Amino acid sequence: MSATIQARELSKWFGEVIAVNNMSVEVHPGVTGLLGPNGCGKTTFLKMLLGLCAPSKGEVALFGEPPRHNRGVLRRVGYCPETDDLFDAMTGYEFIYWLNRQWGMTGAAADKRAREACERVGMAERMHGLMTQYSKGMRQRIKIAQALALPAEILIMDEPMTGLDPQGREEMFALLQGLGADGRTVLVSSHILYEIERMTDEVLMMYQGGLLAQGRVREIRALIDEHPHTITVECANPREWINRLSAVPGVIGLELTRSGLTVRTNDPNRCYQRLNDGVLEDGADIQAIQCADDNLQAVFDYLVKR
Amino acid sequence: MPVHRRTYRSYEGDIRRHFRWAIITAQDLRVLFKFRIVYLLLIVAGFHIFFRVMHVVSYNIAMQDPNSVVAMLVREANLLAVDGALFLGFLRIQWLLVFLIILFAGSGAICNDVRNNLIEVLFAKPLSWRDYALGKFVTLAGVGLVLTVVPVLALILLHNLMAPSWDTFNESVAWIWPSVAFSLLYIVPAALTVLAASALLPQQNYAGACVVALVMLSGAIHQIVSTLVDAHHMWAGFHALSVPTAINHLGERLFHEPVEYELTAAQALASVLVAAVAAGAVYVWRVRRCEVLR
Amino acid sequence: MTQQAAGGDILRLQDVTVRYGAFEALSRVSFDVSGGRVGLLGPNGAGKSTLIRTILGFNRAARGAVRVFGLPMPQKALEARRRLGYVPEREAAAHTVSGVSFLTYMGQIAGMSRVDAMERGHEALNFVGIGDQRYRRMETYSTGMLQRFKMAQALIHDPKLLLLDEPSNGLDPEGRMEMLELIRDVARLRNVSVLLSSHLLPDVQHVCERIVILNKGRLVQDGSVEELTAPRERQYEVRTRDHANAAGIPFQETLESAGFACRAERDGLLRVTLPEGESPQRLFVLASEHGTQIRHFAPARTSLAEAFLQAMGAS
Repeated sequence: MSATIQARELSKWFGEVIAVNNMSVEVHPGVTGLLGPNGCGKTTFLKMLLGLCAPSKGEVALFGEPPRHNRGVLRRVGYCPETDDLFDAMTGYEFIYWLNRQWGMTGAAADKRAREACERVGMAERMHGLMTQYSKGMRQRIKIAQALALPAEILIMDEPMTGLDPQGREEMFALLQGLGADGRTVLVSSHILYEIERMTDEVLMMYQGGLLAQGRVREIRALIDEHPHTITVECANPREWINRLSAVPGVIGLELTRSGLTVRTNDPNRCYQRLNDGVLEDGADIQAIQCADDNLQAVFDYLVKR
Repeated sequence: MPVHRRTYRSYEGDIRRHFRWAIITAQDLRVLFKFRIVYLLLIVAGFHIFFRVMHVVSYNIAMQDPNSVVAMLVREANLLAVDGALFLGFLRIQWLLVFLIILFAGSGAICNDVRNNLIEVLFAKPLSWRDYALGKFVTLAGVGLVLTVVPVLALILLHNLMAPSWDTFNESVAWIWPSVAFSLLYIVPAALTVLAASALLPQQNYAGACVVALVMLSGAIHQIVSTLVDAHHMWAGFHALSVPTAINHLGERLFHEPVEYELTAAQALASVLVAAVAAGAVYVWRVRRCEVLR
Repeated sequence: MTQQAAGGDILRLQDVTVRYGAFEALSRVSFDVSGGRVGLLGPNGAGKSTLIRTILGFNRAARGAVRVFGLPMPQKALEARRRLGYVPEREAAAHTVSGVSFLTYMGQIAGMSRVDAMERGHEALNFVGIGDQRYRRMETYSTGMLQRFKMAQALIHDPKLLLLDEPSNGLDPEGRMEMLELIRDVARLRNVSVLLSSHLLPDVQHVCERIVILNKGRLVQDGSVEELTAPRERQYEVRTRDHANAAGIPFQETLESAGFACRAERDGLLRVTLPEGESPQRLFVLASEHGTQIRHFAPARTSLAEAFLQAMGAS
């Protein structure tokens, strides 16, 4: 699977302020999450991907070509921006139709794709209403629809879930996952980490203009050595478990909690193995085994607050 | 310890219930004086006041020697006299500047709050629409009165100080009421119109343009009416259709100056009242809707 | 001022109906709040904003009674608002003035003297974590700061009920966690009741103890978070170290062929239903036979999202 988006030693500065600092990254087809605190350079990075600003140094390539002033490549990219500026005097359908025409479709194709896109995002009934009368969620759906209406192989979605209600969010997750499964490259930038987790394993973390980490969440977690893995075990007889686990190499801390115990270990493999074996051999009663910090929020916290 | 684990005190102080509108006025004035253009307009207004002060001072210096040539010229040619015409003239010219300031300060008064989504935040506090409407109005009217009535009073005081006598006093006091009335006659409708436009239109620029358009419309009406009345001897009352003409006419009557058009005071006053009430009604209606939806 | 009898000390809605012209935005909604943190959920257009506006006294109920702190609304709206704090969804900023100046103004409108308002303004800004930026004009503020600022203006007059509409909008991950902790702190340290409206269900679950769900203007669910996310019988979430064993057979297949109903969720998580008579230990046995380790094992709880969608489906 070759990379559809590539950046090599990409930097961008504005005067003295460096927004993106020597980023080298490759993004492959499928859904990838892009996250980072405010001010990390995400927006500038996305702008460079879309050809909206030129890199100060380094290269960026979509399908192997630089995107700036490159109609051939940009025609294969769909973008759903974060800002909420739409032409209020138009209807949702008209907006998408005219964007399609701008892209280069014939009238009939633009009309068909606009209607299909509206249906996909659940706006089929309201698409002929004026956008001034749309609620925030509806405007968001139109923004997503305009990105979907194009035959795009790369989709860049900046905070696509804002304003959507829980049902809408579930629908969007499914939609984006479907697009990723189809072989498109979907880059979703969001601050809501559990939603990124819901959609994908692959993440790109940015911090202070640079790439902090990239890859699958669990793999990144495994690479963070400073923070031992924290496993919570809920059981009826924690003291027995403490005895069992204290002999396991790599375990550096055991703590009793209200419902069981917490194990801190540098060698999760051995620890889990002991837990599994304990259940099998001694018939020990376990109600739950959970790793407290291999979710995206925890990994992000460890990396950013180190 | 993260910052937010510190807490804040309970509030056990008094709650002020009255004059909430004064808070709105104070804040609007603070915001207004952050703009340099306001200082520019105030400087120009200041020059105008200074010019009138010089007028009063020169007159009084000239009159100190009643037999001098200058004094005789003043009496014969009625130059430099400190009389009703001075105050009327002062107020008429000052009106231009006052109108500009009211326009600048008031055209964004309501619509900027709406655009910045402050309306929900303001009215979620114990603020009623009455306080809000009155506060905004007093800002504009206050600025206007400070530039009109206060200089008039200062000029009168100066005149009396330079030529103290019972006659002077009686004469000058007689100009206070017309000055106040005339100032109110053009400040109140102007302020209400600007506020109504600000409450109706979504942007400060549109509101300002709308008010300027109304003023120009009034001027156009005035031109048309003048031509018709002169050429076709139509009812002179039509002059009252142009609100600035009506206000000027009332000013002439108040200061006992010769009238330019054959209107009655009642017609002129009716015109001004209709304009003020209409603008006021629109303004109140829109502001009330900010707080009370249904 | 008369106090209502127990139940509904803070907020009481009885059979409230609110109409916009012919459209019924709220239909016969009744619930009480005596304290604590309540989450307000519902799809777009369900009437959440209408409900909040009715509590603030902007809407008059066509039928039914609304009492806030025992005061009938909207007649006593001005008095009630003295103890209500509102954090709106949309950005609210006075661009040309500094944060402190604007906050002082808000405090004065809430009824405080200028000096008091200034002092409390600074305290509120400390509480929400805005530092020296407070002296700069609000047009220079980032989204995160504006969001915190909205919180500060809602707290300056020491309200007893805080109404929040999407408070974590636009905040980065750290900012979101801080905002949620801030809300929990306010509720705990200052004994403030909270009504939080949001589409981010995990956030609501983190902050609130009780959930109220609206759909199409009606109240369809009112229960504690514990009740709504109760563990399911005989259902477990399981994740193993490896997706498939050395032979390439996924663990899911092994489970299914042993008679366990299995559904794959995201991220390698399996939702397994134990057949009658089987104990959870069997899962570990199967994992060992399969050649892998179980790394995540917990009783499956209904997530708030599922509870919400169920409530929508039922109504």
